[in-house]
Amino acid sequence: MGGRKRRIRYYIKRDWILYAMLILPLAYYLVFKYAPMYGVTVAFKDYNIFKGVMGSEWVGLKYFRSIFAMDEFYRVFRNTLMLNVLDLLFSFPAPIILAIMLSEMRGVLYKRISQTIIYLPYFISWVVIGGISLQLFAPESGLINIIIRRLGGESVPFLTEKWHWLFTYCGVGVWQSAGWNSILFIAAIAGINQELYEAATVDGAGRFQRIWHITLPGIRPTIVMMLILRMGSLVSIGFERPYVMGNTMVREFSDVISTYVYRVGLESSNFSLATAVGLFQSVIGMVLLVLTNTIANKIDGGGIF
Amino acid sequence: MKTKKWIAWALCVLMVMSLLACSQGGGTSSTPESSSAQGQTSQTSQPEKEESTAPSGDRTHLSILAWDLGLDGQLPLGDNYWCDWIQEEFGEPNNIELEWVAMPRWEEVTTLNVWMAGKEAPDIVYTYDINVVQNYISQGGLADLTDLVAEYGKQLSSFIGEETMEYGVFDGRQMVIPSPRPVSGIVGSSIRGDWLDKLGLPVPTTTEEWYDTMIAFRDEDPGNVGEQNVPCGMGMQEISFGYFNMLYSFVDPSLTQEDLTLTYPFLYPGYKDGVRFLNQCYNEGLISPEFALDTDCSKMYSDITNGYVGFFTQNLLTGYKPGSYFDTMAENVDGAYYVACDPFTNSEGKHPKLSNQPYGKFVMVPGFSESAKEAIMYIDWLLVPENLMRLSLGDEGVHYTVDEEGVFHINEDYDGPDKLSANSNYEYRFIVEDVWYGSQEATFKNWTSACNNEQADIQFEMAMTDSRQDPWFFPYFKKAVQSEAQYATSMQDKYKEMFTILIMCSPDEFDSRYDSLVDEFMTLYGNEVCEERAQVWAETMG
Repeated sequence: MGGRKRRIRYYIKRDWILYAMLILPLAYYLVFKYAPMYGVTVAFKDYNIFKGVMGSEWVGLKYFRSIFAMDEFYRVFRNTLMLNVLDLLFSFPAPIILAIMLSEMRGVLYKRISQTIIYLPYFISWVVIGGISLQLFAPESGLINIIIRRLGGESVPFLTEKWHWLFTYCGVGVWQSAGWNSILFIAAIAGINQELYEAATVDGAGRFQRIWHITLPGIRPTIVMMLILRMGSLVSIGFERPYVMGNTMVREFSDVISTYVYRVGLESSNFSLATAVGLFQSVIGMVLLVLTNTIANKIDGGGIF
Repeated sequence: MKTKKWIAWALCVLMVMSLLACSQGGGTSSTPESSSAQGQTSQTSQPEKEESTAPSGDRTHLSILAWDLGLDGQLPLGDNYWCDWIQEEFGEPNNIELEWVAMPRWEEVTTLNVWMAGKEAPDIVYTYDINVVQNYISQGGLADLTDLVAEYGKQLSSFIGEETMEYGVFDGRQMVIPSPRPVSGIVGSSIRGDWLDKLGLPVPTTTEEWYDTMIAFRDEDPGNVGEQNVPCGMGMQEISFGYFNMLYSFVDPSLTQEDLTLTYPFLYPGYKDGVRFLNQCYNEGLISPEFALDTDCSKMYSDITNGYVGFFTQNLLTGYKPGSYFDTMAENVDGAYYVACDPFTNSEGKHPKLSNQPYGKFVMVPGFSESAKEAIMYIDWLLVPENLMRLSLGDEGVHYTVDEEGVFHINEDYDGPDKLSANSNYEYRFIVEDVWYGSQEATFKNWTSACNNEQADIQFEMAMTDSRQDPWFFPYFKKAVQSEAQYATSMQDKYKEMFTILIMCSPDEFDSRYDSLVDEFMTLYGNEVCEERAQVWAETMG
């Protein structure tokens, strides 16, 4: 034990500049991420906005009990899971495929230009995307449906029928994020030793065989890491996307935890209830994260921790 | 190797914890943070210099909320003739430094909650939401105004009236000041006059006539607009706004205010037939096909201005006002005009129409405010008729002229330094819902004369007859209904969901869906809310 302590001291002494540099980010986390966490106690209190977080009375698990007694909560929880799982199915493989396609491209100029164009949607706000999708997918006045009708088909209710809406929701998500998420995979592919490809070519491997046997195994650690990160956020969902993309016709599917928390917490001023829902969501998220990591470790030791 | 693993572990824990904190923030607190930041910037932009002058002498400080409506022609808040005038007329004699605090109109409740929680709300705040008021009262967050009103609020009781002031009394104490709302009419319907002329049809006066007219509009296409033809325009704006009149004409007229408050609308006798009628109209292609996606009615208004819409129900009179969307339509389509119309008839032959509550905003003074006395003094000053009239209209001969009949002619092009802010100085005359013309009669008279269109008078008359409130969605209780406060927004959203589904579903599945949706609603919120409402009603009204 003593030896270990001495070694730590030795490392600190040797790399003190690096440790000193770490102080700022650590302070950032402490001040902006940990300190506000005392607000989580609101979930266990009868929060009175005039008395403040500290002055409100403790009520134990009252709000958790009322959450689990509410049918509405199960609906938003189910929707959150459903939208995220679908999103995972569609928008997780998309950037990988995109990255492989881009890296197989020959013309450098063409490749750079298409990369930039593919990234761009990521920087458009969801509110704007919501407006664009309304212009494109609306059943009567939407561009796509006008074309379908002119070609003699029937209008497709992309936004107004819940099952079609799921498809639209996922598709728009892929369009928005695939380019941006592919950056990581492109970087991973660039890191694969080129000699492997040359050797495979000499051995007579075709393009698809090279992708299957070299590229994909080469980026497997990256894929697993990204998957674990995604699993952790499976029960948490952004506010803007379901809020902007949803409408009253598809509320049965588009009402998720974040919109629920907004409605109950901010619009109806039930801060304690909303915090309790948020806390529950975080706990489930952490359980999922640890679970995925354990599985990844069991399979081939590729977990993050 | 061991150390490395240790550090890796620590980092991972750190990351997970930060994720936890992040997702926590993403759900519950990110929105208030951003909105409070917004609120703060507008708050601290001017006040800082004022606060620095405050310590000199016994000058008190009074901050007042001003909703930012986002309209063209709004004057820069705190830096215009009218703020200076108020400061000079009210502030200086009483040694009070006034400050105006902006808040976007659509953040009415959310930002107010954040401000209240942070104890940084202005001394005078207001909201339309009674649940918010009851919530604040039950949490002990509002100043008791009873004694202050008695001492400093002479104008309050005479201008607003004892009866209306009573709406601000909770548990025998004057906790809020309700703003008076003399005009109860709120919605009006219009139908395309040129279309009727072309088809040789009269203005429909019953539901059946209306239906036949809509069918004729659909089949004959008098406007020659082809695929764009919308016989009856509709959008999903505020609850019960555009379709209340139609639905309520089906409801049993013998229902009392109590029945309407304690039963869910979908369960009123006759309501189902009303929804079924809407469903039929929708399936026959009479209603805007995309109404469910048109959450702000912008599509409907653009259809109206393009001359595609035959009939619609919206805010009373706004279309007839000079420069409003009817004028735009007349420019776009030759000879197009709307006439007032009130077709939906109930079993008694009456035309029930949505009306406002007799009160408007609830004006409150937060409990932590140190200027409650000054706040009441200010509201009292504001309600002095001359002050209020000058604030909402300006000066005679400069901003407006009055003809011998007592009709005000507003000089719309006036562009002097004392030009009014948008919507007749809305942010400074917040205490009254409508422009104040000096007396009740003058206000009624000028309400329609500004439109300069006889149809406006007709529509106004219609809106004032047989009007009735919507007590389910806008109930008034003397005591907080806990479940109501919890579910109010959810219930409105659920209503809109049910409403759109039931109108857009096919007629064969209408009955089964109606029953299952109502069942679902009742188990989610309805039973609990109805039960508690009945209990509170018995306690306070019985």
